[in-house]
Amino acid sequence: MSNKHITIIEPSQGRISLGLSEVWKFRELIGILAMRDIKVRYKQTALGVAWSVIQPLFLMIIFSLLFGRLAKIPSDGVPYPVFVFSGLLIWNFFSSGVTNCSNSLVGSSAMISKVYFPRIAIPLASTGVSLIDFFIAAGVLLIIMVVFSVSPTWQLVLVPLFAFGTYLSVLGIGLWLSAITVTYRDFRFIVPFMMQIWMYVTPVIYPVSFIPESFRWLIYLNPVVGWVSGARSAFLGTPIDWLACASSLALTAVLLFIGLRYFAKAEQRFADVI
Amino acid sequence: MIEVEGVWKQYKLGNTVDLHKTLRETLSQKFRPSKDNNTSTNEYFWALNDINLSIQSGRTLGLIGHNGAGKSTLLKVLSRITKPTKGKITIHGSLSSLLEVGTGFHPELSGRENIFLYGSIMGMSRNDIQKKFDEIVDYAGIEKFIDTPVKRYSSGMYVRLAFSIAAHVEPDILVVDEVLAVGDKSFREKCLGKMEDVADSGRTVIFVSHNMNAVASLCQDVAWLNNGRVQQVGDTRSVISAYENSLLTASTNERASQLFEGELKHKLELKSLSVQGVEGNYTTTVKNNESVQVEATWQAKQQIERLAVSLVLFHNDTRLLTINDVAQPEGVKSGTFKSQFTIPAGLLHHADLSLCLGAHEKAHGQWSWAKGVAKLNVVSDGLSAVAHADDLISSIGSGIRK
Repeated sequence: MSNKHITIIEPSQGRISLGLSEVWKFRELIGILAMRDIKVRYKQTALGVAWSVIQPLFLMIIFSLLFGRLAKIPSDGVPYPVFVFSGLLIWNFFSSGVTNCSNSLVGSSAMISKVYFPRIAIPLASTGVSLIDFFIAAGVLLIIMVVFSVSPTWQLVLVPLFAFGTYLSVLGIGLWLSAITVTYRDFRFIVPFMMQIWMYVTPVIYPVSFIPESFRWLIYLNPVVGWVSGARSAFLGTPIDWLACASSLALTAVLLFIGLRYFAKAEQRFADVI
Repeated sequence: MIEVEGVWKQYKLGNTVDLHKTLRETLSQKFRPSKDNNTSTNEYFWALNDINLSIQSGRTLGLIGHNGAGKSTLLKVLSRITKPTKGKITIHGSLSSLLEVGTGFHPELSGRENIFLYGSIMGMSRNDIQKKFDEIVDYAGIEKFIDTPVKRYSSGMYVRLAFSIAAHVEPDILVVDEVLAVGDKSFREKCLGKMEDVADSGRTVIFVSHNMNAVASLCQDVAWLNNGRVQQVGDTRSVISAYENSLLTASTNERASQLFEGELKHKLELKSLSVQGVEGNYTTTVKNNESVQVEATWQAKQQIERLAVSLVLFHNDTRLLTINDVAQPEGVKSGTFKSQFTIPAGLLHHADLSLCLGAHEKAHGQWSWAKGVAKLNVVSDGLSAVAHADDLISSIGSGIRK
């Protein structure tokens, strides 16, 4: 028994803290919650984990027909299917991560109102599913590259870097959305809609070079552009747009700061509002 | 040791209705001149109103009081689920709370997986769970079903497994809400036994219950909460009797609706109760050769499928008999309805009986009950001389000597 352990419960007067030591103490819980979501996800489905492959593959086929064949969108000299799949890889990671994150707290209302644990464990754990999907899809992309005989270069080692950047932007936006959804359920409708629009303003199905020079600065205001274009270049061995990466890094840092701060503040009243 | 100093907790009224503000409301409030901002103070109420308590290590404290007195809010504040609005609590040692059995269980996962999931939600490390795994499974008695998804478990198995995990967390301080109300009698006894073990091993226990017998047998001290304040705190016997005396003075209808609790509470409300056609009497005296009419008036807040209401007669804590208002559970529409019960004449000989009303929704297996809503005092008029004066039931058997 650790009798030395003293807890003081007081109203929070302006101080906000995420209680990182508490989060560390509950790290196993985060892992177990993530494993729960992963295990439960494909329970009672006939195709199981194959859905993680089928979904992006079909999107790739449809986009290749629509945008590659019909609209003849350029793809920086790479076969369009490979081009679009490499974009979708990061984009899907981002969009499913943010969506899962933002719904996570509301989906765990029973736990929040009946048990104590650092609340941030729930949105953190909810990104596990998206991470697994990302790894599977990355494997699929390597196979597709072989099929279309696109050979990777040394730049492939940079992929984890861009994936990590994407993950940080997922947390920044996802934590903020998860906390605000507790109070305003409107965001359950806003987020999926927002993600659809966001995809079209991000160079996922078209290259950055497709945008007229005079408007190109606009695209650097989008925090995921650097990660999407960076990861794509890293996979396909095309030149990396470091300016886009730098601006994404800066924007992600700001978003992460705002997201964590808002979450820490909102966390106090989750149990009363949810 | 737990030190609670001047703790207040404020809630917004109508919390259950406008839980989720919509953006539109907030935006329109933001852009409207803040004329009616000052009047909004009336919409708040204090669920805890200057609570001061000191609980020494190794003691078991019972928290009693009727519904809405602030017991659950106090537990939530103690277990850090919600923050107090004012005041300070100092807790020495680790605390774990069991406010609901099985929160966080995932129906699709197996018993084994849920032990790890629920254990870590309750704050156990993977190693601790691994070490106690066999004990947990053994205590719950579910060895054979350990790899079956818990959605296939019977409700009894589900509750046993959840309680078993919680009982093996072994914190310095254990906080338990009325979780013993679920499950069958032997399970409830097992739970109480386990809690006694916990208390005997020198841990601190805080226990909320409406069951005064359980509180009396388990707790050394009792705090009685009323309207968010500590009405009285002290030794078990004197506080419980003060609380029970206060109940006698409240009107029966008010008491009945306050006592009614359980899963169906949000669907069904107990409006009034009458015994022998008289409403609002707490104790009714009847003769053993007359039949007794009990009528309960209910307000269904929504349509309920397959509902059965029963009247249960208790003598001390022994269940004597149950009478249902319908032979098979039937649906009720939203609105008021009455349940009528008749206790036949000549059945009871001489007894002090406590009336309990129970409601059971068959479709979801949900229960609610109001224990001790009224008392029935059956007196013998001396005619049935064959029965012994101490008998509860009239002499209805027959014997022959050869």
